Amino acid sequence: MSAMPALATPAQGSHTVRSLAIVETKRLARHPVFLLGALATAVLVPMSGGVSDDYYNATITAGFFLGLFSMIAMFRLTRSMDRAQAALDPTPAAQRERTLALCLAGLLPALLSIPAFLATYALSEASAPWALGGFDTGERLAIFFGNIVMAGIGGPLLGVAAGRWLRFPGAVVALTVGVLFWVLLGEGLGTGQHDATWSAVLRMMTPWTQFTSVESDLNQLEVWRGSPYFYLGWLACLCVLAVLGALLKGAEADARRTLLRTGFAVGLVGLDFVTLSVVLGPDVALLHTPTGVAPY
Amino acid sequence: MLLRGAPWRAPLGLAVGGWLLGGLGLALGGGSGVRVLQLAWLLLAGAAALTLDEPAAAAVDACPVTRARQLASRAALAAVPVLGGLLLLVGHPWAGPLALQLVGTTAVAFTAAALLRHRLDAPGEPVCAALVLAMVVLVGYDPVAERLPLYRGTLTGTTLWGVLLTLSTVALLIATRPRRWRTG
Repeated sequence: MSAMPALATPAQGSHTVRSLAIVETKRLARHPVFLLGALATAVLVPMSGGVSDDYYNATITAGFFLGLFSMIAMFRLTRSMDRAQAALDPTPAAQRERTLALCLAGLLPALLSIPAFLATYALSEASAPWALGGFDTGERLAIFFGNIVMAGIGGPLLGVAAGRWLRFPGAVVALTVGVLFWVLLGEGLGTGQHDATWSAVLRMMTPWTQFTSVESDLNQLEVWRGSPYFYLGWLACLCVLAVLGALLKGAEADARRTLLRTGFAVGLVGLDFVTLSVVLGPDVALLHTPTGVAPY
Repeated sequence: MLLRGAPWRAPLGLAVGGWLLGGLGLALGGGSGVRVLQLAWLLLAGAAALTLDEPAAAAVDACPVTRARQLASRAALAAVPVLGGLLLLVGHPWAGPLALQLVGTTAVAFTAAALLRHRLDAPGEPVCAALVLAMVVLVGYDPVAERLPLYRGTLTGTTLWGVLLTLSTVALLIATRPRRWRTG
């Protein structure tokens, strides 16, 4: 424990966070996992576009390589600080500031995800009107934005939070398996229990989801329940919760209480978004075909 | 003695997680169940890689025990998660391909850790990170998964696993070569 952070003024604190954030961003920019993800996104996004029945699947590439790979990179960067803990303790930067700096470094993948989102949206084209699933332009943008940009923001933040809390060897496997299981469960429920409200609620609570599933051979698109607009609200709340969760580790009693209260409030707002997403979306899953729309 | 010094907590934790997830995959059944089982294999293979971490590397490296014996003792430990995973598959309709995927993934992870053990005292963590990246792409990203169908249960996939298992065997033989003395 150092007395120096307590003596630092808020202006000095924000200067420290800014300086550390620049250092962490440079470390992230050189991290091989992040570089691999960014390179794969740059190469594969232009290739995944074009005319297709599977219009919404194009979002997977950038979401996968930027979101998931950045999550792993940030997790490893955060964990790497454990090894340098003895050297870091006497420095003027408190753990809170180092955590905030790591979170700010997550802006790099977030910024990269914006051109990836624009390119994916611009290059993707549905082969026929039924392949759009009845979503208007705004809803399509919300789906693409949620699956790409929010993944680029949320993935690294989750990596920081997990890096702060999961300190056992092999935690990177547990983290990735946990996230993928959460996503898979949501998709499995979307397919298996497509009309049940409980399954829609659970799917809308996942950190990444699709709203459709295509059967190209049958020329049909299943459109699942849920509003893409309100789902964005839930994703934003998850990002805030990840930052709060990361800050909670090692926080002192007063700060911990404030963080927990804020987290509780954000969680409630997030659940509101989930509820609105289910209530204001379609009541039943729909099947879009060249001949029209029918309940699934 | 070599087994007693093994770091068992992390591998056991991942293995138990893998078995539980595998059980859940069996309960789900169908295509979703298979994908969950493949996620469980990731945990079990990670557990196998972590068995080669050596908390007392400096002492172990100074012991008059061959690298082959060290690896053999840890391989016995690494077999535990795999055997548990294989037991889950008894009576499963796709037991053959899924068992091959489990054994193959574990063999590759263990071999990579054995090779890295020449340079690192705890090779488990970097191997786990690489394993996660490779497997999520090969299982979850269709454009790659279709070209390298290791987790699709196809004939091409079986052939590819055959090649990988052969390469792993050769690499393990290389990993058992006597270590050079550390000079600095």
